[in-house]
Amino acid sequence: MSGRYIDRLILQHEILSREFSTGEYGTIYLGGGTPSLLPPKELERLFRGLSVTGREEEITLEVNPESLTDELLDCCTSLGINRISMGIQSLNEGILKKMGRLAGREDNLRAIDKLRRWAGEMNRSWSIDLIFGFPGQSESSQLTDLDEFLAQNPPHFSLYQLTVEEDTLLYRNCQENRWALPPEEEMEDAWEKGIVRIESAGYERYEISSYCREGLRSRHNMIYWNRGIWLGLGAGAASMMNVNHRFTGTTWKRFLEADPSALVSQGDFYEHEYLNRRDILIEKIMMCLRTRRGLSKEDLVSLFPKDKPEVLFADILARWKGKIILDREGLRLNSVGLDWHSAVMVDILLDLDKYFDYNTPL
Amino acid sequence: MSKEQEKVRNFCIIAHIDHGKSTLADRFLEKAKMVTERDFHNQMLDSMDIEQERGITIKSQAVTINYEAADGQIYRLNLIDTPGHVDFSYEVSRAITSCEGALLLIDASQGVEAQTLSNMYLAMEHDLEIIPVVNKMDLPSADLERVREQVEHDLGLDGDLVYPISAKTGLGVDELLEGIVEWIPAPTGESAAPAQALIFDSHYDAYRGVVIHIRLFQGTIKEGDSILLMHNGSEYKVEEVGHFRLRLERTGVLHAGDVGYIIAGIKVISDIRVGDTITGKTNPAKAPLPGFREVKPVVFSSIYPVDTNQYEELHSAIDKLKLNDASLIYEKDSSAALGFGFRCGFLGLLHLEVVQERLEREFGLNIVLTSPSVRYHINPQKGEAYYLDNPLNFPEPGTIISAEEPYITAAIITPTDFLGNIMTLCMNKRGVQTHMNYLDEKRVELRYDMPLAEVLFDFYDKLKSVSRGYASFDYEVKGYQETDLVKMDILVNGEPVDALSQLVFRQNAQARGRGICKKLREEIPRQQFKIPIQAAIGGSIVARETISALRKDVTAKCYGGDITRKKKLLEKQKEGKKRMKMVGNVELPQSAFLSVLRTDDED
Repeated sequence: MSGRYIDRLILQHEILSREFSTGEYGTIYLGGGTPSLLPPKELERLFRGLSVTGREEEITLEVNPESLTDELLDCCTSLGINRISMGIQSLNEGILKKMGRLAGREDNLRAIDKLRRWAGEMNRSWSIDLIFGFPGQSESSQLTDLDEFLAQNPPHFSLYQLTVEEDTLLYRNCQENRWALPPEEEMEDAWEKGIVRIESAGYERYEISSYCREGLRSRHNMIYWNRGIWLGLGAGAASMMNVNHRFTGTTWKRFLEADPSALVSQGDFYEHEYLNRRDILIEKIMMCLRTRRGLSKEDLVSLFPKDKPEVLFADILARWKGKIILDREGLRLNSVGLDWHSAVMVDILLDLDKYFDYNTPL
Repeated sequence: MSKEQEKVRNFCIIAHIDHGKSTLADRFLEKAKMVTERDFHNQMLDSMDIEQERGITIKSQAVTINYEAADGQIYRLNLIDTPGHVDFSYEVSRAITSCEGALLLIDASQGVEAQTLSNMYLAMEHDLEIIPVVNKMDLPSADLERVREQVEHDLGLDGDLVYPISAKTGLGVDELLEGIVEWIPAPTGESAAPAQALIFDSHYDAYRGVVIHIRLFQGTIKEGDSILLMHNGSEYKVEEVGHFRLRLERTGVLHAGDVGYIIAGIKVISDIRVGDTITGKTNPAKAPLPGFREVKPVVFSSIYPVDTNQYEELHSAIDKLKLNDASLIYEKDSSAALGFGFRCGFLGLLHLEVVQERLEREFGLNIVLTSPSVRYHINPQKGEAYYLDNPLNFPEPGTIISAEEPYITAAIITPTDFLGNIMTLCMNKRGVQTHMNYLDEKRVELRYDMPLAEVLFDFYDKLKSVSRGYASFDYEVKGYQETDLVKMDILVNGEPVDALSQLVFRQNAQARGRGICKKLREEIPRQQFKIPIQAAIGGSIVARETISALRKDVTAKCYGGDITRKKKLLEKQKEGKKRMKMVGNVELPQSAFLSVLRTDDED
């Protein structure tokens, strides 16, 4: 099965890289699903097939704690992987059980130690993640979880608030009252206190859900948040090879079974989105405002060449005072403002639709 | 009687809502091979989206079906499909008057209901031949014998005459068509007599103006004739007459007994009145047909555009609706909270909702409606008595001697099990029982005099809930009675929002106020600050709720593959917010105004 999947990835890469003349890559990210379950031999084959040079700035592998073996780490070292992102989600044994995780608290701690040793002094980085607000957490247990998490001193981490997606076990459990989400007020208090603890531990919240020690941002993810250009391989992966064209693969089954020629970007294997000027503009603002850097002065000039941002965003700046900043560096949300990203974006959309002529020539 | 006239049958289908009237009408069309299998879609006669969606008929529709009966003769069956809702009961009565026979459609599992009964009385008043038809025989819950008993006992009709059918599968429909030919008498009337045509409906055609739907009782009307509208006194020249097929089919002449249409260069639908009589100018009838009544709106509400720049668009949209809907009346209105809009009168809440939906769907407008009101009669200390339906115009309480509100007579049929619940409900709604009649040992018919305002809001829903859906309800407007009226203001963030003001019966005010505040708390999205919501009468607060401040986002991940979904989500939230109206510094969603319309008294 995995052999077949790797074959297809290599084939897909061959076709797409030819079509878009991709050349060398700045960053590579192996994620989604469980690439760490691949046997090292297959990983090696994949790297060869994708013509990974080892000169890439950042190569990240996503792993599960239970599959982080010495063998895998050795393989990472030899392949030039210099960043590992590990999903642990919590260090609270009860919560991990409830989540149905294979790795318990001790497994997570052991895996973190391993990662730390692997990264060592070798200019390698690692990242772990924590879920906020899972059923069963209280304000104090959530903060304890966070404290223990921070005590691991990760160079980079992600912090997600739980979102209950329809058609999941979590959703059904909540719907049918088997589980209850923690009270909103408690989690909000925990969040506010938590952010303070994170900042006093010396982390920078450089994106809504991403935190790092200075200089250790995920370079790969920054491409998404700047609405850059990337190639995505795999069954459901999205690619953005052109500023106005995004295409997303469909199902596993089709990925494995489709006629190879159908994997060409113009074939019906992909769902294509052709983006107009408004889409591009909205996506650029939406993604950039997720980061503390926000939209730079240059970004603003290229997005709104004929408009003064202080005029265009006058209402927004007034309505969201204390959360959004416009100065000589650009437009951005401050650390309080990041928590209000969607609400601010909705207002920006409304105002742009009202005041901005998307047809003004660039 | 002419040979042609002998082969005409004019009939309507009367039924409680949901008993399958439109499905049966469709089946007739199909049997008459007027629609092929291919272009057959359900409920052909219900042409508006809203009609199809809600499964109700709003306008009367007529269609002529040519049917070859067992005797080998071709009969012209004129079916008049009548509106199925109490809001449109006058239109129903005119349609019924235009027929010699009626199919009384009864759901095989629901049995006889209040509307069935009131429509049947109406049909009997006009001496219609009534054929009881038991529909939905395909359902496992169908109970023909029980319905047959009800037909004999409650309706006093011959149970042996019952036609069991399934409009859905077509079962028994052939037999029913034969029954129509056999049991419903051909129309009488002399083609040589002075013309008397009853207007039972009309519609507006963008190219040809008003198309009048008529039943010709006496005489002949042909193209080129000059006609008189007897109640109106206006005169027109007939341009075209014909029959209703799926489209209009020109015949050049209509004879006594016919159902058909007249086009006579009439530009505005409000120039004609349903129920008026058309006669010839040269040989006019001595008197109009009986039963004419001016239909008056009973519910009033103001419509405002969410975006004040859309006022003109709203104006032209209402104008266009009015072309086809003579019962919709409106005048300009303005509100401090909502700007310029229109005060509109409707036949009932359903009519109001239909107009609202059409403005939104067919014209793409974002609108808000203010809390609906009945029309009160005010006796001031100085000056003439007058009618008032807009809370904004309510005078200083000290300046009026008395106020009166409209009352209705409600007819309710319920299984005896729920009698207690229903009597309590009616009492809470200030109803006074005038009549109670056991239809059989299991079912009771009740009559109540009740304020119309009490029925408007949630009475029907409540009735259904206290009777587990078994009770049925019908009403007619009765007249005015004295009442104790107060104006209740709603304050959002300390500011009165005039568009949310209501006129209420004093004893209900506190409960209503609580209900509204609670509902508004649910409907108004949290904003960056805390918002108090208060209900006040005069200067005193009678109810209060608080909307807590907006919470933060859930901070979720967003990588390359999530952009599309995230963007869509934002666009959706934006659309929701676009439908909000800034009132002071608070954003009120359209649903806030609508929710007041549905607000229950807080018991």
